[in-house]
Amino acid sequence: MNLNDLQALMGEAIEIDEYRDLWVVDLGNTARAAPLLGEARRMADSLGAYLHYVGPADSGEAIALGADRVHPLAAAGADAAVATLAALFANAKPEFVFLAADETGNEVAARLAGRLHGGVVLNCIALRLDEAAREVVASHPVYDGAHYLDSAVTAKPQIFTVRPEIFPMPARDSGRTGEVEPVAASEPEHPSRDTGPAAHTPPATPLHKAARVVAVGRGGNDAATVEVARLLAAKLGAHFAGDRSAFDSGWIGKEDIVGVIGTEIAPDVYIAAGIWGDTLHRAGTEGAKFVVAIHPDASAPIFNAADAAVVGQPKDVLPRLLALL
Amino acid sequence: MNYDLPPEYNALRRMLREFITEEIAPVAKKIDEDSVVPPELIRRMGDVGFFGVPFPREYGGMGAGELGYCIMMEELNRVCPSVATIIGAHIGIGVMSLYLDGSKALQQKYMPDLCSGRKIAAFALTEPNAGSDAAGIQMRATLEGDSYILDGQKMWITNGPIADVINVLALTDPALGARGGATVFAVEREWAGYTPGKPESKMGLHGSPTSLLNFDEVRVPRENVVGQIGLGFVTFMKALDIGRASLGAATLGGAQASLEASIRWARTRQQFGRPIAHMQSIQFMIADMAAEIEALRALVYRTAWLIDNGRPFIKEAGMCKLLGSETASRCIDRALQIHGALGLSRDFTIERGFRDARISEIFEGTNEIQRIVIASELMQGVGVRIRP
Amino acid sequence: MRLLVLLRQLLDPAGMLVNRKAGKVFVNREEYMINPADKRALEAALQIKDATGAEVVAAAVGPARTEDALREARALGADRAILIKEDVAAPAGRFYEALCDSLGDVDLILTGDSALDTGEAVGPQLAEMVNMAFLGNAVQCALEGAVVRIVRRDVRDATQRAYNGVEADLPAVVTVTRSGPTPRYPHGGAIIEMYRDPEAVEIMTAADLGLDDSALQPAVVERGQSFPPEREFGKQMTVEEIAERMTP
Repeated sequence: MNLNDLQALMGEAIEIDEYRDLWVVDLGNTARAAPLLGEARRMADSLGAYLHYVGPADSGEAIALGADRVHPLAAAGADAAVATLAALFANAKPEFVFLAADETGNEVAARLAGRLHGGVVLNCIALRLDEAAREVVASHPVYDGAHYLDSAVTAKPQIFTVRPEIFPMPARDSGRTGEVEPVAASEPEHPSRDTGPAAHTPPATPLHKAARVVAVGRGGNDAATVEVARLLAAKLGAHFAGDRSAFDSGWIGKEDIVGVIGTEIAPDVYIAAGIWGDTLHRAGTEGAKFVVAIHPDASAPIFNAADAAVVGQPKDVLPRLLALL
Repeated sequence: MNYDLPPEYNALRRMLREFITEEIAPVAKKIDEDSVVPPELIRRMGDVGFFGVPFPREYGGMGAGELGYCIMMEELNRVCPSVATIIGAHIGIGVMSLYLDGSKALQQKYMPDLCSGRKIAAFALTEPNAGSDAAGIQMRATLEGDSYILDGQKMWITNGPIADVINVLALTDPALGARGGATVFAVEREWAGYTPGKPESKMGLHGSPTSLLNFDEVRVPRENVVGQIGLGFVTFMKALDIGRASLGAATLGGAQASLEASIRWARTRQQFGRPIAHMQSIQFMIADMAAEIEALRALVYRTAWLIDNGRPFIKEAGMCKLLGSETASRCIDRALQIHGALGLSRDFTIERGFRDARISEIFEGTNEIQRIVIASELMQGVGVRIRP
Repeated sequence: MRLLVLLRQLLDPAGMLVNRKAGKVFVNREEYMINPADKRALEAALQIKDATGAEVVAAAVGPARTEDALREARALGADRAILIKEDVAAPAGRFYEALCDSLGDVDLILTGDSALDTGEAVGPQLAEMVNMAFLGNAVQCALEGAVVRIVRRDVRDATQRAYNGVEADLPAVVTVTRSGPTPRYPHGGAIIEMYRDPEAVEIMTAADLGLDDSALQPAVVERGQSFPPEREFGKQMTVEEIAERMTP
C-alpha cells in the first residue's frame, strides 16, 4: 500500500513529505524504455518499493516486464510530457525516476529536475544502488567519453537518464499483477511550436576533423571494391580516404592520403579496409577512437591498432557490412 | 622577479594559437606549394588584429606592445614562416618606421588601413649594390617644387609584390651620403613610375613574396616624407633594431616546432625493436635543442620587456636575431636528422621548415652584421667606436 | 531586448591525459576554456545582437579564474559580464534563477546543451525554474519580434540528417549544440582592453543575490571517477558486431 492509498482509505491528507517509489518514464520509444524496467525492478525489490511505469505501452505488458503500477500516458512532445509529469510527480513524490537517454529523454528529465527542485544525471552508462544511503551512484561519460564521473543526486527526486543498451530486455512474467491508474494530462504553460522541416547545411568537415573516416589500401582491394568502400563512406556520413598505396593506385587524390605523410586524423570511427598499417600510417591515425581493420593478411600491423579486426578480403567483407547498415 | 606573463597576454596567446591552429595550419603546406597566401586569410587575420599587434588601439592596432608582437611572431612562425614573414616585414620594419618617426598626419592617413591588414607595408632599404653595406645606397630623391622625384631600384624587398605602402630610403643629399643625406618616403603602390618586380624564386618562404622595386621618376609629395629630411637612415636603423627582437621571437617558434616534431617522432618511430626515443643519440639531440630553446626564450622575452619599458635594447635585440636564427637552424637540422628520410619528404613539415629557417641568418641584417652591432655596443663602453 | 548567455568554464582537455590503466586523469597543463557548446550559444547571441541591437549579458558561476571566460565573452562582443563568484559544486541553476530576478526583464537565455566536463544541462532546468518556454539543441537561432526560432536535428528522423524548425514566444531558454554557429575570434586588442579594464566583469556573490546556505547545497555530487575499459587491440569481431557499433 502506498501513501496515496492510505490517504484514500483514511479520507484525509497525511502530511508526510517523504519521497518514495521508483518510476520509469517512457516518452514513446518503448523499446528503449523497457530495459529500464528490468533494472528498476531489481532496485525496487531491494528497496522494498513500488515500481511505476508511465508511458504509452500496453498496461499488461508493462506489468509483465516488472511494473507494479501503470500510468497510461500517450506519447506527446517534450512540453506536454513535462507539464503532465511535473503535476503527477508533485503529488506522487517519486524517490527515483528513470528515463531513456536520448534528446527528448534528457530534455524532459532536466526540465523535471528544475521544476521539482530535484537533481538529475544524464546519459548514465552504469547505475549502482546504495540501499543504506538510498541513493543511486551513476556513471556517466564526460569529455566525450574520455572518462566517466560517478555522481549521486542529493536532492529529491533523484532523476536519471540511462543509455538503454546497457541493460538487457527484462524477461516477461505474464503471471505478475499490477494496477492501472489514469493520469490527468496537463497543458504546457509555454508551448513551443513545430514549424516543420528546416534547411540546415552543416559546414563541410575537412579530413583532419572528420568524425568518421573510411580509408582504403591496396591489400586485397580492387577498383570495384573501392567503389563499395566509397558507398560505405557515404552511408556512414564518413570522409572517404586512403593510404599511400591507394593514392599510388589512383583510387584517391593526394589530399585524401591518411598518415604522417598526408593528413593526420583523429576520428571517432576509422575503418581501414586493405590498409597494411606501417608506422607512417599508424602514427597519423593514432588519435582514432575506434579502429576497424579489414585486411586479408593476419600479420598486417594495422591489426595492432585495431579495436575490431576482420581478417578477410575487403571485397567479401565490405559488401556485407554495407548491407547490414 | 616575475616570469609569468600578465594574464591578458596568456589570453592573447591562446586566441592567436587557436586561430593559427584552426585557420592557418591546415593551409600552411598549400601556401608553400602555391607560393601565395590566400587574400581571404589575410583579410580574416586582419580582422583579428594580426597586422597591428604593437600599435595603439586608436590606429586599429592591438595595443599589445612588443611583448604581444613577440608572442604573435612566435606562435605564427611555429606553424607558417611564410605568413610570419609577411607580417614581420609589415609590422616590424614597414609600419614601424612610419610609427617611430612619421608625422601625425601621415600616421593617421596610413596606419588604420595598415593595422587592419587592408593595406600591406614594405620596408625598402636594400639595393643591388647595398646589402650589408646599407649606407651604400644609391637611390636618389630630388626636390622639384613641392615634391620629390624618386629614381632608382630596391632589391630583395619582402612584401614587394603585394605592398600598398612602401617606406623607401633614398638619398636627398648625395654629398652627405646615407648618414645625414638620406630620407624615408612613404610611397603608394598606384603612383606613376612605381613598378614592383615579379616575385623571386627562393629556396624557402615561398608564400612570402620578395621582389625588386623599380622607381622611375616617382613623384612623392613632400608630406609623405617620413621623419626628418636627411635623417632617414636613423629611422630605418631604429626600425631594424626593434625588428630584430621580434625576428628572434619568430625563430623561437620555428625552433620550438622542430623540437615538438622531434619528440613526437622519437616516440613513434621504432628501430631495433623499440622507439628511437630510447637511444641516447636521439635523447642528446632533443636535450640540446630544448636547452638552447629555453635560453632563447628567456632572451627574447626579456628583450621585449626592455623595449616595452623604454630600456636600452639594441645589443639584446641583435642577440635575439643572432642566437635565434642560429638556434632555429641547428634545431631544424637536428629534427631532420631525427626524422631520417621522412625529414626530406616534401609531403612532411620538416623539409619546409628546413628551407624556411635558413633565411633568418641573412635577412634584416646578416648574422655577421649582428655580431658587429653587438660588438660595437660592447666596445662603446670602453670608448672604441666601431663602424662597419 | 536583453539576452543572457550562461557560460561554464572548464579544464581544456588538450592539457589532460586520461590513463585508463592507472584509472587516473593527469592534468599536464592546467588551462581553462569556455564550454564549447556555450561558446556557440554566445555566438548565436552575438549574431542576434548584430541583427537587432539586443543587449548581450554573459554570466558564469565559478571561482575567480572564471573571470577569464567572461573577459573573453566581453572581447567577443558581450555588453556586460557578470561573475557569480561561488564554488561550482553548488547548483548553477539556483544562481541563474536569482540572477534573472535581479536583472529583471531577460527576454532570451542562451546556453550550451550540456557541459563537456560534467554532462550537466543547466538550460532545461533553468527554463522551468524561471518559468520560460524551452527550445533545446539548436544549431541555428534567430529572433523575429517576440518569437524565437531555432533549427534543430529532427529527433523523429532515424537517419539523423533531417532538421526541423521550432519556435516559441519570448521569454524563452534556448540551448545550442556544438554544431551551432561557428564562434568568431575576438580582436586581440579587445582581449587586451578587457583585461586592463577593471570594470569589464561585474562580480556578485550568493549574498548579493539574496541566496542563503540552503540554495548552495549541491543537487548532484561527484562520488568518484571511473574509466572505460582499456582498449584491446587486434580483437576479432564479426561483421554483424561491427555493423551494430556503427548504427546510432
